[in-house]
Amino acid sequence: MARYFPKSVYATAILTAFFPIGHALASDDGYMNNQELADAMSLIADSSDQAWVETIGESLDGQPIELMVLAGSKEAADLRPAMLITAGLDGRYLVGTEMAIRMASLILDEHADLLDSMTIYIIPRVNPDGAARNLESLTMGYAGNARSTDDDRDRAMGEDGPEDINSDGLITMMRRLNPPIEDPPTHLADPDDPRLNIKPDVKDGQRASFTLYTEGIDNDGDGQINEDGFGLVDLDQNFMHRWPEHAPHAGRYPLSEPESLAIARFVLDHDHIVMALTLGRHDNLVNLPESKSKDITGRAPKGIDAKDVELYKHAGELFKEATGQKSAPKEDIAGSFHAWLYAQRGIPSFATTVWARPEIEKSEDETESAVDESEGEETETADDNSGLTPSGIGDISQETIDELMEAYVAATGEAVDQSMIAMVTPEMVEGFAAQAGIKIRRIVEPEPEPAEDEKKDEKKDKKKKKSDDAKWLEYFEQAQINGFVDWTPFDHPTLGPVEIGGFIPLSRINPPADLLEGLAEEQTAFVVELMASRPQISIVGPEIKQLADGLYEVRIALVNEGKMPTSTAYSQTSKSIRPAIIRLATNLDNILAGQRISRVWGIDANAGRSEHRWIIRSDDINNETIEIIDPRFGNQTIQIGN
Amino acid sequence: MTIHTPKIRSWCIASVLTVVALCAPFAVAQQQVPSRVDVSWNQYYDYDEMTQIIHELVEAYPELLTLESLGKSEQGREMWLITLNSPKTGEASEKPAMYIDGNVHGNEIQAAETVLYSIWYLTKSYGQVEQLTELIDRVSFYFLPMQNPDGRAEWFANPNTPHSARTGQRPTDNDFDGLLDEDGPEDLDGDGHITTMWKFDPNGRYRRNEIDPRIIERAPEGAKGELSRLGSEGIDNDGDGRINEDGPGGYDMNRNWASDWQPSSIQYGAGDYPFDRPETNAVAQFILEHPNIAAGQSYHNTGGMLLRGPGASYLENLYPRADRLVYNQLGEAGEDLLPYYDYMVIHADLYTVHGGFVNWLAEGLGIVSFTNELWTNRRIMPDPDRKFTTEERMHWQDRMLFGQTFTDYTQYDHPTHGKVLIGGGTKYSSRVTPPFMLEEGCHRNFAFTMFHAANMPELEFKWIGIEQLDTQLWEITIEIENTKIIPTRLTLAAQKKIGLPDLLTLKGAKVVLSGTLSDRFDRSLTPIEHRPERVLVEKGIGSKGISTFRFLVEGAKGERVTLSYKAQKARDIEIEFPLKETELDPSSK
Repeated sequence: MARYFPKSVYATAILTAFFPIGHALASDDGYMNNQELADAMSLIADSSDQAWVETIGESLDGQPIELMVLAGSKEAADLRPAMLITAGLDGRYLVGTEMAIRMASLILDEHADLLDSMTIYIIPRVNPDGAARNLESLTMGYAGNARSTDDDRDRAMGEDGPEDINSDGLITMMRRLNPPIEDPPTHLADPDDPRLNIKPDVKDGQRASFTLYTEGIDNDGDGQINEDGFGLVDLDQNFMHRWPEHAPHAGRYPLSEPESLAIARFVLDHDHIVMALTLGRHDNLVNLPESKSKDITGRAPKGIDAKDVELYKHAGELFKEATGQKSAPKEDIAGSFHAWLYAQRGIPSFATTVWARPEIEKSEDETESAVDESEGEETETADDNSGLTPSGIGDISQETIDELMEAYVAATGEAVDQSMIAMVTPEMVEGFAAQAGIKIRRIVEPEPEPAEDEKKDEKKDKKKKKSDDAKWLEYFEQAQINGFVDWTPFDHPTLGPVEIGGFIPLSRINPPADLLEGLAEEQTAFVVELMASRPQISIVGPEIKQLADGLYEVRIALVNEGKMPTSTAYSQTSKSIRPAIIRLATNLDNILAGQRISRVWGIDANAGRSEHRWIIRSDDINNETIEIIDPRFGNQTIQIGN
Repeated sequence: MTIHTPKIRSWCIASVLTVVALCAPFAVAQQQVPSRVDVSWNQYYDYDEMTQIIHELVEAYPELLTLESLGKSEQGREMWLITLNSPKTGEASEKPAMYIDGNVHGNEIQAAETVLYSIWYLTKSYGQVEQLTELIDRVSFYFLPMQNPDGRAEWFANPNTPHSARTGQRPTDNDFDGLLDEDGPEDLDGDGHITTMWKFDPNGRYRRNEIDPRIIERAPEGAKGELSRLGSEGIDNDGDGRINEDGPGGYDMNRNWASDWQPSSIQYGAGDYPFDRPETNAVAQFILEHPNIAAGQSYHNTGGMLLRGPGASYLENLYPRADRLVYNQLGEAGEDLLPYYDYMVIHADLYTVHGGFVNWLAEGLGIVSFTNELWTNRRIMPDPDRKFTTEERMHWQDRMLFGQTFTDYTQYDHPTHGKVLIGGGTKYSSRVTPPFMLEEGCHRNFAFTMFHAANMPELEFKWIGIEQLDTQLWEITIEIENTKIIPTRLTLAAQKKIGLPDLLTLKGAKVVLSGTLSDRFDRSLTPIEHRPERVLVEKGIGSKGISTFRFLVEGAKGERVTLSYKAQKARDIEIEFPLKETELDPSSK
């Protein structure tokens, strides 16, 4: 079982996660490196007494993880409900950081009144080490942090990374032309646009002519190219909700990384966060998140609870109105930060990729394909099939083959003739499995980063709909963006003749820098609207009714006038976060009806109410008090008589 | 047969005795082998006393034991970790190791004595008892007697029930009123135990047993009751109308581990995230730094069980058949050694556990692990297999334990419930092994754990055949055998790519080709496509299995080559030999 990356689409799909970044994103071209970001934060903080910077942690390479607080005053910061804006978990998504820092500036300049009612926490770059590598070396696409790992598990760390073998300053792809028998061709150039790689439609007479690799050489001579180059943990797979244990970059345990631990601790220590926006790899604003299925325990939602759909529709509408964004990639949210905020911290948690390729033409094709994407690209199958090993027999997992072989050995007492395995077809496996009563577990290819060549190629419609890659090329040309390197021949030291070229993938994640200002205005407009629909608690009452001499009925109601709930509907039923406490400050013996302490697990949006009623004996009803201890909206003591 | 010996120090006497012992195969009494540290195994030791004994043992056996603290508990107590290793045969980290801990639940106290007994017994046996000497020379042990020092200290120091102080002692808001640990139990009657409170209630459904008034029973149909159960002894400290709803701590450190960890809304006591407690984090970091750990045991009480994962039904298929066979062989051997213990699967036979410790060891790290639930109350009865009535049980405990585990009911004027009865079983009345039976429990569990440890993988070159194919071309066929039950890599580990694959390398000659064979007679090998001098063996060497490999090398006759096989969970093996037509049988020398 030494097949870490079979020579297939699967392999390239994983490897292309390490695609390079384009020239367009160098820090002198408008994207901030860590120092520039720190300077920008200082500048903002120095210009306002409603903004300051704190350090909440340190990255593996010793970079500070910084937090910018926007608040009415230092004293008020902890007392008001808060919004958390987080960016830069994935080192490649530099655009989120650019948005976060501009939002701070725009809010202070134009919407400072918001800070009278809310505090805003901004963590612009959770993963400074990943960003640094992407910005400083120009060539790499680092998603994760600086954790060194032995990706190919050969007892050598990071010994086979990519090389810029044609010295163009970029790591792109290689087409191995005329591959030998041991390396069967997998792709061909798209007849409609030979710059693109597609998988052959063999029934239509197409034949593969080359294999695809990322640019580099097989440094450790194990037959795999660039399979152990980076070492990293993907921070956005390192959180507790549906943590994908044993996935290659999910970390050794949840919050194993200083960066993910720092932001988790920050959230755990700040109970007053009532909404969150994460700028990065995921989106739940353009596309409504999954709301119909449960996770592996059957008790927590995979995405969101059905009762929270209205909340997400509301936020999604605000977002689309503010930004005009119409499409967004769907990425697996297992182990992500924003999914944890929702599922385990009860926080209405929104996520956006900020930028998506603008639609160039409004054809029926594209509308269709948008629908197609939302249905077909669902990747939420990780729980059952994650971590399965490809067997080389169709999409059937090695685990299933092993089970079958065990069953065979158990039934016959004979070992399985290994040479037989080579002749087995997926159909035969299905037959054997039916006989043995074994459930077939199939490989679901992990969804890689957005807009990967192969993935899209696979989905390329038979009706010759324009592929996603083709649309990117078209967009790059129209917008005159340098996002693609034309294929040029090169004599590879071990692979022989190759062509080097293809997409500069970070250019499909991060927009040209001149778009950043405009995007930031749109994103800020959304944040302002979201904050305007924040939960707002007003207290109605107390109302007192005298029932007899010294006997009173007391009623009070907490009403949420906002368009968002105080916490998610799911957290109200799972009781997973600290409730607000209503305490009647009188002796238990004097309470004839009602609870001395009651707990409010959340109040729905749009005039949702939490009502409380007591019947008490009192010599001096006007001096009785009700205490409200609310981790989100602050504490107060109400004297009944006033 | 008993041979009474004074202090035995010399190897010479020891081997004579071994011979004597071997000549008397039907003897049932143990050799008397004294320890340099006297420990009574019919009593329990609190945290400080146990710390003292640990230090005495480490000082008395410096040639085997080293002591470190993994860190400090929530309340600042040291977490003592004892490494047992014979440096003569190599570093602890070079050998397969068994990790053994206990008492993660503070009230499950005999777990710590069972771990301590293991250290005590092994140290005194080294050089004296052949089987154990061989074992100690081959493997190493990491012992953590008290995984939850604060819970243990609390249970001994203060009035408790058999079930309280299970938790760590970080103040926690269990009743969500914004206050921490503000309403714990009180020993109202001052007898040193938290027992049960019964309220006088004319409509109560319970009454005192007519023959033995110490027993409170449900009033039979038609008869009148007089008592209602109030719960454990205490008052409503925070005035919320509930008694003892927010005592010390209030979480479960055996639900705080990374595999299948689920939040508190799904799994009570899980904490905010895996390893968010100092105790679990210290243990986790230690284990992650020791990939040579091949076996795990975590002692708990109670019920007489040998438990393995998974903890949740949806993970049942995670354990491949080959791995289940490994567990079954060990578990069934345990049932033999531990009468009244049953080998069980946690989720299927006990209850659902998310984020359990042995689950993390097994499912997260590929370590063959069990949790033994020490002691079952049935064991005190003359016939543990028969059901006994409460009266019979009380009677028997009176005669055996002289009534020590019961405090009689007394009346008490409770601040909110008026006249109540307080009394019942003390904290020693269940779960804890009666002291006079403690040593047997320790020893039987120790014996099982040693069987488990002795079955950590052991590799040898079983056979090597060298054939000359041409003047310079040699075919070397190698059989590597694992003589033990536990494979070098569990099938789960191979499937999930946990840890590193084993590695077979040949040095000293140019390797042209290498590969695996189904057996030594197989002519056609499955070639390694790249770097043939380095064979990565993802599946490892199986349970009592033999794997066959072949190298084709270029070299002159007589040239010396070195084969080495590395496995994280077995001791590495290496052999050097010259190129010449021969068969080597290294295992038989």
